[in-house]
Amino acid sequence: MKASITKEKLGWWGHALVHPFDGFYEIRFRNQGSLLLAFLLMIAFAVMRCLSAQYTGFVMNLTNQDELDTLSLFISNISVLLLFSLSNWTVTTLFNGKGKLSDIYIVICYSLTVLIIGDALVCFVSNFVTLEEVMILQAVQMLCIAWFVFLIVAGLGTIHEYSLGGNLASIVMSIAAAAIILFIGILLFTMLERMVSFFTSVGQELMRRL
Amino acid sequence: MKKIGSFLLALLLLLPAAGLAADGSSNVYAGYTYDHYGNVKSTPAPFLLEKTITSENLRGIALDSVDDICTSRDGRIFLVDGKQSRVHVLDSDGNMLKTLKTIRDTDNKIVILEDGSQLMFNGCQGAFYHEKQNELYIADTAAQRVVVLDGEDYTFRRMITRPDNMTGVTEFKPAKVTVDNADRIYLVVQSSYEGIIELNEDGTFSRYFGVNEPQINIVDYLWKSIATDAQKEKMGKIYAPAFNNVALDGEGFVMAVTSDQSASKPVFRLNFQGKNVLREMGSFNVMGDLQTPGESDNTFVDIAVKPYGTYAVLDKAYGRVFLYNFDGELLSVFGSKGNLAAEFRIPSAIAWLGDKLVIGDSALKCAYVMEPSDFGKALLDANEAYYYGRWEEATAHFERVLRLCSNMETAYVGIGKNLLMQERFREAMDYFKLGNNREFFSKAYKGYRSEVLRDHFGIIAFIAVVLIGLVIGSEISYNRKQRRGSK
Repeated sequence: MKASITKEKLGWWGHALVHPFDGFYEIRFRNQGSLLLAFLLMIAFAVMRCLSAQYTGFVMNLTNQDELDTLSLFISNISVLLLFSLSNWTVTTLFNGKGKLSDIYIVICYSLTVLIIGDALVCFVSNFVTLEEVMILQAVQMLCIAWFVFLIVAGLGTIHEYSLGGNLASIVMSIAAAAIILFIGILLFTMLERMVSFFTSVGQELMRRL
Repeated sequence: MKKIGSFLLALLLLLPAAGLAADGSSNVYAGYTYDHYGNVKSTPAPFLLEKTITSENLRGIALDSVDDICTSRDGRIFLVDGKQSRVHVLDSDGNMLKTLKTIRDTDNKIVILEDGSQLMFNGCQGAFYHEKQNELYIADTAAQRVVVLDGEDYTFRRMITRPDNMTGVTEFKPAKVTVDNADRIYLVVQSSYEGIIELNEDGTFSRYFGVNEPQINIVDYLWKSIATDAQKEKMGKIYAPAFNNVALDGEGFVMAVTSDQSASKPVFRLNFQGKNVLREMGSFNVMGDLQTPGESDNTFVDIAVKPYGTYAVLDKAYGRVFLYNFDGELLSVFGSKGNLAAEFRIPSAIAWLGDKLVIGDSALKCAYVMEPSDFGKALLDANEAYYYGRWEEATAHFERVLRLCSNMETAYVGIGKNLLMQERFREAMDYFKLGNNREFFSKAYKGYRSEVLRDHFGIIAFIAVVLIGLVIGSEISYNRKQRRGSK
């Protein structure tokens, strides 16, 4: 029952955010993670990103509101997460990682909680600050990102049962793998596009001549 | 029938509006600017062609090139023709007053030089009208001298040749000349890498001025740091880039343009120490067009400065004129290369004639006198009033600008600054937001925030006290429970 959200699982979610080694161990090996919760967190993260692009105070908000495309922002945020989950899984299965795809996904999405909270806080407070006080909010942002990275590294290390060096190497390699996946994906799409346009032009020729 | 008639009348009324470029909306005369995000935003043309000065205006004297243009405050235009070695003097309407080639003294005799030859211009390339002394300075490039003439009757006053105490390797071939309020003479020698030559009032050498800081390239630096002395010897030295032209702004600073690739900036405003003090408060630095991949940079050949610091920079590469205010904010860009009227082939010189611009083209062998459109006039007026601190007037002009072009972020910011000074913070915030100026928005917001805090101090203090009370209360009750538990 990986999908369901129980009170106990929620407890472990909170625990993992402050005690990642302990918490993610429970989540991985005692089956205390919830895929549904992870999915909701991912959606919440993407929505929060869109919200902060639009509602961050003018002093801090550097996005051009005229060109803001919420949908593509939403999709790109989600696809980065999915891509990294996938590439990390492809790398770690080759290098004796113990984590399954669902575990990796849960670790990444649970870690996002910190970013969601940080984004929400900064987005709200930034409406009441002057340029001099922006520094403080940026420090908060940096802190959240640092904590997020720590959670990811600790969580992935725990679920794969890696040493620190092996873990960092696997993360670097999964970023490379993500680039390769992207490349192949783009290749595939352009090939498909050419194929489609080839067949449509053949079809058009046929229709014209027959 | 009546309907058709009124329809036709409406059409007739519409036609001239579409055809005439009085508002500067036709293609040739369109202008543009950049918004805060670097997007091109169109503006009406700030300047429109008033008339063209060709050799026809010079009673048939051939005009082979326009190498420099300067103007005097009373409206005379001086065109320097380096190929014909002539300087033409015209009035503000483009009528010829005089043409100068051989120089006469006050007795109307041709000046004879020491070697017995007559004093004639030889490849002169620059001119400057010094208002303070009423003198016309001509940079007589090929003859390696500067000729100073009387500003009224153009008789010979003096001649400046290579000073005896001049140092350095720069040849004394002055191409452009400027004189500041303290009568110091600044000479630009084309392709000189030592800087602008500064002469004292009496023509003695003072120093090389405004040494153009070369860009320090980290790769070069790395190579140099590991190279041996012999290798460094072979690598050749990196020199400071060369200036193309100089002008004097209203505060007596020398403004210079360069198109050298190794220059850190294309436009300089040099203080008396020769340091660059150009104000660059806009969204982007004073760099002409924003760089787009595949397009070469602008090549700035000349600069013209108004007394209130608004300056126009002439670009040879695309035939564009960039209008900046004293803060270095881009106002508008206009001009293009082509064959239509007011288009350029090789633009070479630019000068202000009151609020008009005189722009010379050395390939088309003409000079355009361009007058400001309603939009351009409003821009100039607004920046003038703003510069001199006439805020109310500036606001009115900025509003005029915005009625003609709502893309002008500097106009919104200008109005906002005025509102900020009147402590109308809430309105100022709106304008700064429209003008995309976060720095001033923040200033206005600071004022607005403290206003709100002051007005609602009672309620805010109450909430704070209640919150603090709750925290303390909960601590106390928690401690009591703990104590009871331990007992």
